[in-house]
Amino acid sequence: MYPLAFAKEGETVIVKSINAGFGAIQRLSSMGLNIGSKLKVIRNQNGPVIVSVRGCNIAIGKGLAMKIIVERV
Amino acid sequence: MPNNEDKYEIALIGNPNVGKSTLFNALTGENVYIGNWPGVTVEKKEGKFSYNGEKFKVVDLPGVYSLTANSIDEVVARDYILNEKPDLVVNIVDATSLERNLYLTLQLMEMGTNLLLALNKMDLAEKSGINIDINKLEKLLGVRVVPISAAKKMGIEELKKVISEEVKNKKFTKIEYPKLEPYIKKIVSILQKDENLKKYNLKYLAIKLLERDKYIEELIKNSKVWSELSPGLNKIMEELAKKYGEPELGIVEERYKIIDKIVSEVVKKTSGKLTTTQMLDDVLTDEKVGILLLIPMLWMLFKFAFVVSSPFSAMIDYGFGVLADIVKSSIPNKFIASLLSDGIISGVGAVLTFFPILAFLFFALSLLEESGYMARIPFIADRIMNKFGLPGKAIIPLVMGFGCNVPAIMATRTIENEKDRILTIIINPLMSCSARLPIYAFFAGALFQKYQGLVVISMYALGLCLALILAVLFRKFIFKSSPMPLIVELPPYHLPNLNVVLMNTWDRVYDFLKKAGTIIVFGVMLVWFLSVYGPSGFLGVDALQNPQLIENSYVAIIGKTLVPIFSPMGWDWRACSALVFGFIAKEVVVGSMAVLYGVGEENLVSILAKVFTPVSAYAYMAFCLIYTPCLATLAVIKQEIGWKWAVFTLIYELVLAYIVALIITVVGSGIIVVCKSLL
Ligand SMILES: Nc1nc2c(ncn2[C@@H]2O[C@H](COP(=O)(O)OP(=O)(O)OP(=O)(O)O)[C@@H](O)[C@H]2O)c(=O)[nH]1
Ligand SMILES: [Mg+2]
Repeated sequence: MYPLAFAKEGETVIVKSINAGFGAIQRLSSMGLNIGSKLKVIRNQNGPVIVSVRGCNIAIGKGLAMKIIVERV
Repeated sequence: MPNNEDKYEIALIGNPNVGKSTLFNALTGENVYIGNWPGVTVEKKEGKFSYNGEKFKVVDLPGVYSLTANSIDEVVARDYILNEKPDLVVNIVDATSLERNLYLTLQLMEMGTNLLLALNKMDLAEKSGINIDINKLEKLLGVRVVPISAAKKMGIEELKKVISEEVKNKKFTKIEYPKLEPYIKKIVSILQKDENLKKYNLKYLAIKLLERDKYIEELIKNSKVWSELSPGLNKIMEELAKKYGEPELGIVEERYKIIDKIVSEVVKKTSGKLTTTQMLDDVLTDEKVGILLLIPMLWMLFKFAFVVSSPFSAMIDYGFGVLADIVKSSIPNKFIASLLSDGIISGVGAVLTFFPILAFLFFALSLLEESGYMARIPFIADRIMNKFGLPGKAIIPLVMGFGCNVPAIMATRTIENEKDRILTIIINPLMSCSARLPIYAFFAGALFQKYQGLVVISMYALGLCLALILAVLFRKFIFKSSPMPLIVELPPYHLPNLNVVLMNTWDRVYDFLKKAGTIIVFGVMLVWFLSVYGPSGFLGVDALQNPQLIENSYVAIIGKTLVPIFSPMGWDWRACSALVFGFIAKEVVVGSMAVLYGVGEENLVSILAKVFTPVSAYAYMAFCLIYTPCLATLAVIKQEIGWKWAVFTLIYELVLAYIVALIITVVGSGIIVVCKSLL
C-alpha cells in the first residue's frame, strides 16, 4: 500500500483509505472516488495526478493524492 | 392566460457539464452560456416553454456532484430543490458516464422528489459504443427515463411530452439501503415526535444525519428532539465508523453498491474509449509541454482578436465620423446638435470602435471553453498557482478576466474554500478586461507607434504580475492558510459546435451593447453637461472647442482639483477628470477624453501625442489598468463577498495604481535622462 501520489502512470489501483478532511472525502466520493473504487492512473508527473474512475477523468492535487492510500491490483 | 395556476415549475439538475444549459436553451429558446468545462453555470436561470397549451417554468441550476453543499453552487442547487419544491425535478444524466451520474440521482431519490431522468449525450454514447437498456433502468429506479441529445436537439419533443405527463402524476421516489435501514428507522421514529420537522421528508433528514451533513445537523440541533436523539445517534455513528472506517462513508458505500448493481444490469460497452482525448491530453497535460503551450495559446487568442477585428473597427470609426458631421450640419438647434455629435456620438463612437475586438475576443474565449481546453488550464497551472498562494481553479477566473471581470468573479463560485475564493475575487480586477483595451490602444497608437503591440501586451502582463504578487502578499498577511487541493473533472475534448460558440459570443456581446447603450451613454452625457455648464451657468456649446471657455466648467474644476495630486506624473486636468468618469465604466475614459479634447476619434490620437510624453502616457495607461474596479465589478464583489471586501479592493487598487504610476514616472524619466546624456 502506498499513496496515490506515488503510483505510476498506466497503473490500476484500488483505494484503501482516504486520510483527508471531511470536505475532501465528501467531494471525492461524490465524483466517484471512494474506498474500494478502482482507479487507472492517467498522468502522474510533478503536478496534480489524473485518474480515470468510473469512466471519468479527474485531476487531484498532489497534496491530496498523498493522502489517498491505494493498492495495486 | 395570465393566471399562474396552470403554470408548473420544473427544475433541471445534474452533474456539471452534462448539458443542462444546452437542454435549457433547447426547451426554452433562451440563450444561456454553454461551455465544455464543469462550472459554467453558477447561478440559477429561469425560462419558460409551453406544451399543448400548458405553461412550464424551467429553472437551470448550477451543476453539482452531490447535495451536501460543499461550495456555493451546490448550496444554490440544493436550497432550490429543498425550499422551492418544484413540481418536477428533471435530472439530466450523462449517458457516457452513467455510473458517476447516478450518485446524484440516488440523492434526489432520497429527498423524495417527483423525479424524471433525461439521459443526455446519447449521440456520444452511441459513438463510443455504450448501450443503455432504458426500460430496465426505468424499472430498477422506478423513474421515467427519456433518452435525448440536447446538442443535436433530438428527443426534446418527447421529453416535453413526458414532462407534461409527469408533473401531474405526483409520485414520489423512494429508495432503500438494506444495510442502513434499521438505523434510519430508529432515527425517524424519534424525529417524528417534533411537529416542526413534519414539513421535511424525515427519511431524508435521517440519511443526511448519517452523512454528517452540517446544514441538516444544525437544523436538528435546534429541534426539541435533539436531546433524545443524540445519545442513540452517537452510538449509531460509532457502529458505522467501525464498519466503514468513517461513519459518513457508510452511506457513500451503500449508494455505490446500488449503483454498481444497476450499471452492471443496464450498461453494455461494445468498444473502448474515445482516443482523441487521450492523444490530446498526452500532449496538452504534459508537465513541460503543457505549460509551454498554455502561453502561446493565450497569445494566439489575443492576436486573433486584434488582427481579425481591425478592418471592422476602422469601418465603424469612419461611420461614426460621418454620422457626427451629418448630425451637426443637419440639426439647427445648436445645443441638441452638440449634445448628440460632440457628446454622445463621439463619446460612444470612440467606445464602439472596439466592439469588433471584443466580439472576436469573446469568440476566441468561447472556443477555448467549448473545446474542453479551458477545463485543463487549472490542471496545467495548479502548481504555479499554488506557488502564489492561489488554488488551481483560480486560473479560470483570471483568464476570463481578460474578457470581463463581472462573469469572471461569478465564476469563482466553484472554488470550494471561502478564503481561496475571496483571494481570487479581490485580485481579479487587476486582470485587464476588454473595457480597458481602448485606452491602451489609443495611447499606444499616439505615442508608441513602432511598438504598439508590445506596449499593449505589456499592460496585460503588468496586470497579471501585480495580481500574482498581491496574491502572495494577501495570502501571507490576511489569509494565513494554504489553498485547498485541486479536485476537478476533465471532460473529453470535442470539436466546438460553431452554433454554440456564436450564441455564447452573442450573449456576451449583447451585454456590452446594452452597456454601451445605457451606462456609457449616460457617462459621456454627464461629461458633456459638466463641460458646457460651470458655476457661472451655461457656458455655451462652444466650450468644447474653446479652451478659455471650458476652463470655467465643472469638469475643469473636478480635473484641476486632481491635478496637484498627479503633478509628479504631469497629466493635464482633462486626463485627470477622465479618470473620475472612468469609474462608471472604464470605456468612459476614452469616451470622455474624446469629448473633452473636443475632437473626433481620429484626431484624439494626434492630440494625445501632443499632450502626453511617452512616459506620462505609459504611467497613465498603467494607472487606468489598476485604479478602482468599475461600478459593475464593485457591485458584483459586494454581492459575492460583501461590502467590506468591495471597499478593501477599491482602496488597495487606488493606492497601488498611484504607486505604480509614480514608479513608472520616476524610472521612465530616469531612463530618458540617461539616454539623452549618452547621445
Ligand atoms: N455530444 C453531445 N454534447 C453535448 C450534448 N449536450 C451538451 N453537450 C456539450 O456538453 C458541454 C456542456 O454543456 P452545458 O450545457 O454547458 O452543460 P451544463 O450541464 O450546463 O454545465 P455546467 O453549467 O458547467 O454545470 C458543452 O460542450 C455542450 O456542447 C449532447 O447531447 N451531445
Ligand atoms: Mg450550465
